Amino acid sequence: MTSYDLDAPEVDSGITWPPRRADPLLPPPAFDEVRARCPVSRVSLYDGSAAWLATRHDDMRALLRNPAMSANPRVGGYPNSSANHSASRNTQGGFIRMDAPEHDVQRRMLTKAFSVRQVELLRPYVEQLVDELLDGMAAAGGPVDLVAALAEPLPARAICKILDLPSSDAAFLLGRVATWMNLNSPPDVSAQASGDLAAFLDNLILRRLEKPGEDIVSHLVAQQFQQGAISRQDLVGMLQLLVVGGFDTTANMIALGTIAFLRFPDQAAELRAHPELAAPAMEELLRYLSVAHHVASRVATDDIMIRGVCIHAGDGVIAPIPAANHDPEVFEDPHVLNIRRDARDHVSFGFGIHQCLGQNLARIELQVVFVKLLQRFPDLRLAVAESDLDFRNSMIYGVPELLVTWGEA
Amino acid sequence: MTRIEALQERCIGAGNCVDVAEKYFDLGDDGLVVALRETVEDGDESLVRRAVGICPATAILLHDAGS
Ligand code: HEM
Repeated sequence: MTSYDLDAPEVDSGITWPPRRADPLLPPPAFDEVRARCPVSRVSLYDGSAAWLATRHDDMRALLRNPAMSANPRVGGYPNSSANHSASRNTQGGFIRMDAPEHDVQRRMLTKAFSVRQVELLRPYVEQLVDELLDGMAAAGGPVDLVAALAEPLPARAICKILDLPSSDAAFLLGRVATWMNLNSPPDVSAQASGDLAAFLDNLILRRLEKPGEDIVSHLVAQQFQQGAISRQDLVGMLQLLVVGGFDTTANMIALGTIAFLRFPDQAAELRAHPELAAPAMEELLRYLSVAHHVASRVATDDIMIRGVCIHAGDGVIAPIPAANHDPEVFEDPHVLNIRRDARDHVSFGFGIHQCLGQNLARIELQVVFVKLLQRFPDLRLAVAESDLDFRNSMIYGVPELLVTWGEA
Repeated sequence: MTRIEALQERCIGAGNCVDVAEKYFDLGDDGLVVALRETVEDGDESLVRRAVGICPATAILLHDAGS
């Protein structure tokens, strides 16, 4: 059997990564074209190098669960979207960028705390938090920036609760993460922000060492750090990951999800009338929006044969989440938002050993926020035209600001 | 007859298997997978295969009798 290498003209997608979107809520149309013609193909990267692009749902799952796919950006050949992406990825620590077995050892320290059963206990807190934030919006009156008033504070205050930090720390954490992750921040400003965050978390470890409580950091300090199972530096990296992981992702799901519900009022009406659909509706919204659009990148550490191509050790692999989530073989009419479909096979939280640790928390936040938002403001609408919104191609897809209003104009 | 094996040493506790096939899988106190049944019952083949497919960490294996 013949197999194609990365330089074979037969497998060239003609795409320079990342391809452009046509509709801001849908994946780039190039994914559909390439999936039909050459599902594992070559893309050119910003720096002139090449990587593999996998656009089918089954191939994405097969690749990301393959142990020969490294998530470590320091391994040569790791594909990045731009020089800034590359720089920000390299400053990111924590087990998201580690391979097995180191990854598994650290992730297991958190499995129980983030299990469905444990995070379900937080649901009443999330409900109260969302009510408070919606009260704040109502009191301020429209137009309100939904990102600053709701989408950002919700995940930030949820993680504060888990880390047992006062909710007044949420603004500090949000500010530092925003500066650190902003692809337009000069490198020294970005590094300073990530340094500030690391110093804050290192200090938190010391505080919990002196005066332990019942929170997750106290447990990690007593059961892992003091037993020599994790270094202080790695513990800081782990906490940093917990803070960063839930911010842009959850916030942009809330902002883009609001835009989607306003564009498709029948879907909003359905959820408003049937709050019991919250769980399946959020799986569908996660699938449809696929906000983590530049996340599932890997580099091969061994040769792999897939769909007639040979991915060699050292080749970069990009398996875009939006492409897999809009594969028509798995999801009928994939470009249609339908909250009544069974979308549970989506890969919006990634796939393989790095599949999102915070997924159960994120689900609760989304389920609570959309039911309450749509019920509280049944006539919610954009205060600017959708075509004037500033959709950003950052690591996580989204909008930095979303002016909404309600009531009499 | 198809035998079910759930490998805790691979499990990352995502809980997807429980979501699609709660009759067959649960998470223990440590947050890791537990198989609730040893074999796949008649008519449940596609349900259990979906759980196998949705597991991000390849922690659920099916063994066909005689293999
Ligand atoms: C809707 C919201 C969210 C989305 C769409 C999302 C998406 C993702 C994706 C796609 C990955 C895999 C990255 C990769 O394969 O390279 C991931 C990993 C991760 N996420 Fe999330 N996430 C969300 C919310 C959260 C929350 C709320 C937290 C924490 C409190 C969190 C913490 C993490 C962590 C720690 C990892 C690394 C897991 C590992 O490497 O084993 N995420 N997330």
